[in-house]
Amino acid sequence: MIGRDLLVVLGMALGVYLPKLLPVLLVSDRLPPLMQRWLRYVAPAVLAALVAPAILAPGGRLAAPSWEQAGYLAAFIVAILTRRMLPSLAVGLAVVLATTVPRN
Amino acid sequence: MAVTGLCPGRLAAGLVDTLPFVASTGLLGMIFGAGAQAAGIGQATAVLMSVVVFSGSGQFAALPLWSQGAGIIVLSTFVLSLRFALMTASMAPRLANAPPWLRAAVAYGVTDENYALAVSRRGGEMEPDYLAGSWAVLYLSWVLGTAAGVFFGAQVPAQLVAPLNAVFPIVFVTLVVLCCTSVPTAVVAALGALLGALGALYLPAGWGVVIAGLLASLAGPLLERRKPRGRRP
Repeated sequence: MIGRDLLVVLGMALGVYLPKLLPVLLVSDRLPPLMQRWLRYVAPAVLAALVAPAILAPGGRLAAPSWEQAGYLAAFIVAILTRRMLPSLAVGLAVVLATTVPRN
Repeated sequence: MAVTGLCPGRLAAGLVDTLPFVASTGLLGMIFGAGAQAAGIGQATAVLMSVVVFSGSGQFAALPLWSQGAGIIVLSTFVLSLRFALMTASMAPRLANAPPWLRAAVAYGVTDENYALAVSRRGGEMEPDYLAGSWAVLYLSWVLGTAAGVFFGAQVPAQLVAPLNAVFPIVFVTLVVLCCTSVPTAVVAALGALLGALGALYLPAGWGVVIAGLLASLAGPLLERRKPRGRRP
């Protein structure tokens, strides 16, 4: 049983590492210009695709409007206005704290 | 482009910028550790998993699958990690001059959080020392959180759970805004968000982010071409 557990952990480690490793070994700096241009858009695309479900569809279901979402919206607006992390984080967390703590 | 020697300042910057994630990552690690006990994963195995695998999404997905075959667990971890291929592909041109061992090490340490932080810095350089400083904070929080959850259970005051869960969306929304430095990048991000949400609703776990990220980023160069004042091709 211990041997099986170790194998699964190692298999999981490989499952996480291979997708991370292969691109840095295979992609060189002599890429065709079109591919270089594409790669510049990967970060905004994949980060937005990563966070949107956490806000709009946590758990794979469309979320009912919540106070947390008001905090995310506040953080979004402050981020656009200030282009800084700390004000955005502070305002977003303040809204979530102010609206969720009294309910507990 | 040049990968220079280790710079303590950039290492420290990575460390400091990651501090907002300490409590929320520690909490997630704790919940995972407690959940692993409930799923029948041994104490040492659960901690070892966080030490070696170091993947929140992959490890949480393994909990309900633990009593099933090893293959399905490994496959699920792999699918949930496919998004990292997009991230490290976008880093690869900047790391191309680094020795293979360094590229392999940086790839091992890439997470959603330190990738997002590094790419949103001014200039968007992928500095290995910045990533390493950030990684160290995330790694310690995740592993120590797991150990705490395994041995003491998830003991968190109820009032703190909602704010801690809100840290990830708040920080990532901000980082997405920060890495939108032009009209095409902002359109790409909006498209990625829309497709990502649709993917989470209608696609199996893990595929939504990858397909949304791929499609939305491919739209980027097309948006540029319509703008004669955009970056030169």
